[in-house]
Amino acid sequence: MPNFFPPRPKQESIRTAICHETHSEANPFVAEKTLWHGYDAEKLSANYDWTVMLFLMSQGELPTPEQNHLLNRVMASLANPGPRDAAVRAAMNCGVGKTPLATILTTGLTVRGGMAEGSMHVEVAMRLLYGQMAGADCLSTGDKETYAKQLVSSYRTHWQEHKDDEVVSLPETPPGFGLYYGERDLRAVKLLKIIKDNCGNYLQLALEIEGFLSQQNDAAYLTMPGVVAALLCDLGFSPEHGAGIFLVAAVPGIFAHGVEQLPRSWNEYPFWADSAYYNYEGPVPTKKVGKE
Amino acid sequence: MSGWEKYAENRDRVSSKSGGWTIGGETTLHGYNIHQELTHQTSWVQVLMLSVTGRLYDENQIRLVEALFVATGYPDPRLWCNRIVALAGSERVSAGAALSIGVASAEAKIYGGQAEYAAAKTFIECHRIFQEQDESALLSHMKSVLKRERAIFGFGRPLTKVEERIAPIERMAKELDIEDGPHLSTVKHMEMLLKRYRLILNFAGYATARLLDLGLSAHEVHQFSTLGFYLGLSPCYIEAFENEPGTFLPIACEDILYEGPEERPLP
Repeated sequence: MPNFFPPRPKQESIRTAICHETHSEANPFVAEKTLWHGYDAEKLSANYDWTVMLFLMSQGELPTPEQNHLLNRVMASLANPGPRDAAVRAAMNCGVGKTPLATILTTGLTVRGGMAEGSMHVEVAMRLLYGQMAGADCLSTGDKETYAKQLVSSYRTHWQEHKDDEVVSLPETPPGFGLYYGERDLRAVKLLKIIKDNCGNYLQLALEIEGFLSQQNDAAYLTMPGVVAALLCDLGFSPEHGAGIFLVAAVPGIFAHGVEQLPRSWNEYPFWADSAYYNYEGPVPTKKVGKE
Repeated sequence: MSGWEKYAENRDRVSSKSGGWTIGGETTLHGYNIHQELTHQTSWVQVLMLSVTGRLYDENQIRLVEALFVATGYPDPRLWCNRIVALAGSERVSAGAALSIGVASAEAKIYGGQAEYAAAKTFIECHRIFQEQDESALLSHMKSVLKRERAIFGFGRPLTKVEERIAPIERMAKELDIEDGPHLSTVKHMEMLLKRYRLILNFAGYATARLLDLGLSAHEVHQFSTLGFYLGLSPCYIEAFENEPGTFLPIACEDILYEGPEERPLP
């Protein structure tokens, strides 16, 4: 079909390998046909479910039924971080304040994006397992136990040298491992039970690392984000896409909890208003402007 | 101590070293009473600096710092963060949501907050080397950074090799009798050394050096600079919001350069 406009310079064009839209005969802005990674989008949406689209958009190929099943299990397990989770609480705070609807969700997702145990953490945990945070001397030899120890050692060196390189510091404990409220992360244990028949190479590697770290003085174990990171590696996702999946998977819970608070009055949600809750630890507020 | 005791200790306990509000009564910030001291005696940027650093800077210094924000508030919707708020405006997104994504998106490594943090880290290290050693050690360090990173944060600029924002601030500093501090002096020396690489000091680098000279840490530079592009956001948002939806830089199907696979049958 002929184009409507003269060609534009390549540097002024958006380039993508994901989506191709062919315009209709009469309107250059309306797509008559859409391809997603070469597949007809209409046929895809009529025949495949949402996680298949997620896999296709991220990796450019359709998942096998086994991969799709595992991705569904992982995402289902992340569907609601619960009302005590920081991201969900941020969304609920929006809800009780009557913040515009879309911001309820984006606020929750922003908080879920952090390094503590959010999507940034999943991203670096995946980099650790992929060996992207290891030095050149750290090579996979087939001996998983040795390689696991090498990865940990290499991460610790990397952390010493680069922990403050970015605006949010890397965690001191190798990402994907640690404690949850001071003890082994029960969420990780439960998730491991759910997916016990899907132990791929990266999950095996993560379990090797856990075996090593759990024997150390400050014992650390696989955390829920760590198990998710390993599974997403086994599913072939890049760390960037893995981080995105960790965010998207929690949308149902974040949004539902936020919206649940919308009709409620501000005083039906805690403010911790009693002064007994508030503990000021700063300087005596007697400073005077101009007399510093 | 059992594993969860520290969480139990902080349950139902809000702690703050910076201040707070006695409900219905006094409010304080870093040791100053907000209503008795700050409200009528300080400017917004002065208190912004106080809130980030815990220190109240004199009005002269703050005038220059405020000018840094004014100098880089370009209302041109082609600029990345501005374009984002314009797209939001064109889609009739509410102002708070639109402007907040403008601010958040400007935490960018190419031109924004992450670049300022990286520049601050680089400048602190370069200044230390220059002070403790000499020019050749500084040059050698800069060369190794250039080799490793292919760039030095704070130098170079996308699209142009001209930096129009520094000269007005330099003039203003002169008028205010504010001299170059140690970091800015080092950075200007670095610019001279980098001439052979055709790398100019960019505004983020210049502003970062000025803020370091006021005693800000790299993290404080990053946090303070968060609103650095804010002035340019509102006009871009408002215009797009007022125009017909979808008319901000609409893209035709044929404008997209597709690089993916040809159409293929579904399995």
